[in-house]
Amino acid sequence: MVNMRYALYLGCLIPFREMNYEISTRRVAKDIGIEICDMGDANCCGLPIDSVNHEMMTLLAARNLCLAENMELDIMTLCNGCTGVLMKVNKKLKADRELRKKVNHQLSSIGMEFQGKIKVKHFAQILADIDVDILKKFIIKPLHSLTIAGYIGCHIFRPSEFMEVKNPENPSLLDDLIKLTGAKSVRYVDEYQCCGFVEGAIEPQIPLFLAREKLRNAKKAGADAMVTICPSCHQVLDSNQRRAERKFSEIYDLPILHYPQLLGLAMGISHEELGFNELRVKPAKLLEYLMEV
Amino acid sequence: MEIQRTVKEMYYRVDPKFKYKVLKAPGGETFKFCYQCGTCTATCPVARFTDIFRPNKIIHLAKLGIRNVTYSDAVWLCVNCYSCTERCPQGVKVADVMRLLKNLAVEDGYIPEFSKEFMKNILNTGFVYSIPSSRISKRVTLGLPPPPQPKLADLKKLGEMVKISELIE
Repeated sequence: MVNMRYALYLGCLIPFREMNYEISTRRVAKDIGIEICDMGDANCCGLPIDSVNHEMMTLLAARNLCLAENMELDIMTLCNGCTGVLMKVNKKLKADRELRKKVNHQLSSIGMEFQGKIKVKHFAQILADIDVDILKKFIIKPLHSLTIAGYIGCHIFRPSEFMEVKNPENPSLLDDLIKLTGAKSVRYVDEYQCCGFVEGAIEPQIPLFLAREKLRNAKKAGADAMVTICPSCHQVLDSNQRRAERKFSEIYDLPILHYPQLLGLAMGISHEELGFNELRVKPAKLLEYLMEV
Repeated sequence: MEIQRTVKEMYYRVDPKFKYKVLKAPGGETFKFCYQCGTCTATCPVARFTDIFRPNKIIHLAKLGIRNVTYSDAVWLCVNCYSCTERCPQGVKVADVMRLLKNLAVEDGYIPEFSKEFMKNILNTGFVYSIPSSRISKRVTLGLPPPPQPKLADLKKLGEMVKISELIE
């Protein structure tokens, strides 16, 4: 067991549309020994309205950071978008005195102050920072028979200036985590390209094209399933998969799992407890296959 | 998307000082280094599937002072994936420039309906989507703790600080 405590920042998509991600994360974190404290007062991270007003985005993110500072805990995020925004604003406010002064003046109207005491980390980054040998002790049912295509998303490693990634053209974060479960991780064309989720609001066809590319390429590479670490990517690849199949008259039938679900399977947790029933593309074949092996 | 019409309209008014406005605002500082190599467009996931969005063209038009470029749908097609920022040989923060151009368009009163709705939802519920009560009851059946409930008065006050209501009305 590792002893850690984090304030869990859920964002907007996870608590209402991607509940299986939350269920599996809570379950897996409990077993590993990461204690989760809920942020009851958290608001939207601000990313969706960055294009409307940059200042408002900064304030919304700063408010979330202040809430965690009051709890005296580092933030654990599950969404790439939230991670990107909170990490960036946190770093900018820590480094830029002028900006911090201005933001603190604005925050004083709601009785808050940014002090710069905490860090923001994605669940995947937290796992990657734990010693591999410690994590390996939890893997009691290694998934040697599975071939997994990881889809890391964007904001967790871009822009590399803020996201502390050593090799932004070839981030190994998700690759390493998949290998940890014993599964084989395959590479495929366009694996680091955006899913286009944000485009859904203005030009809904483009995410379908982007999803098609990824699903086809991952299948071609021999993947049994794809793994995401962001609810937006999951929405495009999982919830939109049937729509893409209809549009292009192709059949992909590729289950898209959240990373904690894959890790949970390897840790010997039953799929019911990991929220597999909530997935749109049913992973029945995958689970059957795992039972047989 | 009536891009043809928008492009025609673009040339009606030229604002030679527009580039200084972009350079001064946070995020726009690197904008002048662009030398039109087109790496951003080559790496853009959206540009592959639409003819309308070409980041280097948008930067070029903005540099020339054709301010109406920000009023077209084109800038709103950016998905903010930062591939361009990552690969620009001149160190232009392309995604930040796109974001800034959108901000400037909003200041001029050009705001897409969906952005307006996002902003309103955040002020009214704290989340970017309006949430049906069935989802909240579903959380209970799945054994999850109650969802976060932000203090709406706080958000309203923050909104007043940046005069957000003037932008979305």
